[in-house]
Amino acid sequence: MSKYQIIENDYDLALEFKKNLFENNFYHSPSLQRILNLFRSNSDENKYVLFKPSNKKIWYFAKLPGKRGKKIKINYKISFDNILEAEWYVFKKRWKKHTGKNLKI
Amino acid sequence: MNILGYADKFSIKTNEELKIKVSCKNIKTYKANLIKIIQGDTNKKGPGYKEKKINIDLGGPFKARHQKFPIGSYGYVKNKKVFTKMKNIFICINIFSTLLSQKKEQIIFSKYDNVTKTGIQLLIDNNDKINFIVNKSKIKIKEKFRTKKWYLIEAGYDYNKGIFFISSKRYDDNKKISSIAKNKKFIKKNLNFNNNQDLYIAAKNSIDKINGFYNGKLDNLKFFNDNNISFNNKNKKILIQFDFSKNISSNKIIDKSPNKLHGILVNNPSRGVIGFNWKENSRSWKHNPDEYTSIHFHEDDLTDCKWQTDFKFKIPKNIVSGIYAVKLFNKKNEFYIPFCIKPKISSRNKILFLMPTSSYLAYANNRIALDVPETETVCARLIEINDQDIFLQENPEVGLSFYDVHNDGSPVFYSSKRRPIINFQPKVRGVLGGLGSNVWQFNADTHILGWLDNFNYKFDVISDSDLHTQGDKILKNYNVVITGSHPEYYSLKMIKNIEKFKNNGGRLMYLGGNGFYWRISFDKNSTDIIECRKSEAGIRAVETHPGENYSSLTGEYTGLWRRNDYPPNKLVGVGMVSQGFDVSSPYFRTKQSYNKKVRFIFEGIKENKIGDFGLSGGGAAGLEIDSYNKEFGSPENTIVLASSKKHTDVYLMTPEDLLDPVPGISGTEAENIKSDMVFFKTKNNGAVFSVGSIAWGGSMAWNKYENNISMITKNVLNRFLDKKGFS
Repeated sequence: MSKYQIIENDYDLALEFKKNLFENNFYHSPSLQRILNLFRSNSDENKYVLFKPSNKKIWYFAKLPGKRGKKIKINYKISFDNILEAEWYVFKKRWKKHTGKNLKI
Repeated sequence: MNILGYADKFSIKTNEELKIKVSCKNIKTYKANLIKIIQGDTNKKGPGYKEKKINIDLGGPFKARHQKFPIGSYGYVKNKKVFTKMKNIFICINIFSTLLSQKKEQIIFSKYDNVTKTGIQLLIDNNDKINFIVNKSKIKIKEKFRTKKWYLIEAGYDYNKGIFFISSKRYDDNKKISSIAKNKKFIKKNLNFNNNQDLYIAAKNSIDKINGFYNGKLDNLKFFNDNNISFNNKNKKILIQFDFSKNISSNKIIDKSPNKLHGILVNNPSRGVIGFNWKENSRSWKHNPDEYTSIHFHEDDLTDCKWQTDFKFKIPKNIVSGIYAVKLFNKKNEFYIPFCIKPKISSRNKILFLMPTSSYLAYANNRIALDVPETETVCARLIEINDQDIFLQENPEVGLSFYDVHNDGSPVFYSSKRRPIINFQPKVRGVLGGLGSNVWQFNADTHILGWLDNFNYKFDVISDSDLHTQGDKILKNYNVVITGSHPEYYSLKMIKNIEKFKNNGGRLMYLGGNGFYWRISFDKNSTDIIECRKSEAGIRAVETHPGENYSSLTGEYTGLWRRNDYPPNKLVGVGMVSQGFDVSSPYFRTKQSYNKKVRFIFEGIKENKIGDFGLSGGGAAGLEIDSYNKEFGSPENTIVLASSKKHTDVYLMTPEDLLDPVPGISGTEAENIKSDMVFFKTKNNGAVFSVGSIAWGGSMAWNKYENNISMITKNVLNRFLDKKGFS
């Protein structure tokens, strides 16, 4: 679990993430990697995941229930036709969660 | 997923019978075919899914029926006449509970008839209080039970006086009594609590349904019957005295009393675990059995579904060795039950593929995508849940893998094939398989199978259980043995049989990564169940207790092969150094690779950079990677042919390599995070070629098998088939 806290200057790192994401580049600056570790290591209930039904090219936003046997909460109203858009959506959602502010990029 | 099933065997000979056990939901009938699995990855960028129907009538359509998952471990003792001697009763037991606050009743023992309401029971109730029950009467301790503390519980009923009592002594970590609580009351005299029920331990039988599973350790369960029953009577007459330290490698529980009321354990609760009497300096149940008098029961243990057979058939005589599956299907559902058909004695094939069924079992029905929060971090992207994950999430009763923990947080020691295995099927996507196809274990291995098929190589297949039981006899018939992409779990016999093969002139192609990592043991009577205790070091979900690192099935010290004086480097020249599940990297040839001794490997290859493509992370070096290390036993004559250079920062050094953690342990910085492709000669013209990467197979299958990784593999295989010695 990461304990990093986002600071004002980290805004540029969000720009870096968007650029890397759509260029399919997994090599990030150490500062961006630190933010990604924070966002992705969340172990709370309702961890964000994507649900992709078999043989369909669509991804639905979903949340893990955090308890064995409980249903995964799939939001069929939030869907993506490519995985990069989904990643960017979740990144912005997590940015808001950690900073309280919308990421206006 | 409305059809599920499993077979009674992972590997089978021609003319032998295979029994298929099926459970269905919401469907009336299903059909079945026998198919040969050729390439299981459905990625459109891959070579294409390929299966071949075998012309044999398996019968059907079959009538669908539902069969239950009998999850939860327990013990039972068959009812015998001697139980009728119970009038006065006094029981005592040490209890170490590991999961409370669940608002569920957990049974310590029960010999109770739910219809007549007669019998005795000791249980932890919905409010975590210990209760002793005789017929309809109940007595409890008011204090709530605490988890992970040893208690001595004593309770009894005086038939002549109607005295009903219970006491609880809680012990601190130094085994000193830290709390005592008692309760006593008068109830009806002369209660007859005998019945025809069996005695259950850690569960109860509620009208032919076993439930009320207990989570935790039980130790030293004793029953006394005597005319003078009380806490203070020191000369009690023993009725049952279980000694769980006896027959630890079996499913039997032994009663030391003259009555010999021995019992049977179901679903492999953990044995060879420390008991109430354990002292810090004891490490092995074999050396100090008196300190290993416990059994750890779990509500989520499952090693045998015990499903009825729905149909069976004989493997046709004329069928060739390979990987096959029974495909169960109807219009909307399908379920594959893969297995291998072993070679006939008359087989002339010179290539043998080792189907790593122990590693499939280790990962069977794993919940890595569902339960492990860090998975997204190591995959460096959002986790994609598929239909199989939805099923696993909603049906945890299919049992756990070595990558999961029990509901009480304790490690999973056993995995069994006697259950449907959702992720042991073609077409299935994984979670750790990297960007691209994202296939893992069995389905990733079909990249290698598809490649062999594409180039018309004739090959035979055996499973890990064959390698364990008959490997020395089988392997000697082949020039070349090929591994799967991730043969991680190996028994001592499996290692020895490979070692013998390679030193007797055999040629080994290790086409994977993180192989030969964990030591496992098999049940002595059957290879259906494997055990692995991840002691000391290594990448693992949870630590084992320091006193619980010896296999209950064999008494072997378990854990990493590296900590068992047999690092993978000794066997195949390379050993595990890192893992990351995002993107893979290319290899770059070394100067040594241009040496004429190994020129055959790179025949037709002009590039210095190889494998900068692939279905598993877009490169040939990735996911889990191994490298050359002389200190860990890579042979002196090993030639490092090529190495990957750079990996992303989700690749980290392994815990066993982090002796003194310092900054710079990730893929872009740590110099030892690289995959090495190596070659070395062995005795009697034998040789080993190792790629040290799980992603290799995904590159073999790239561009319909036309690429430089495929060519290298082909060069090596063709040369290895030629018995001529190496210069």
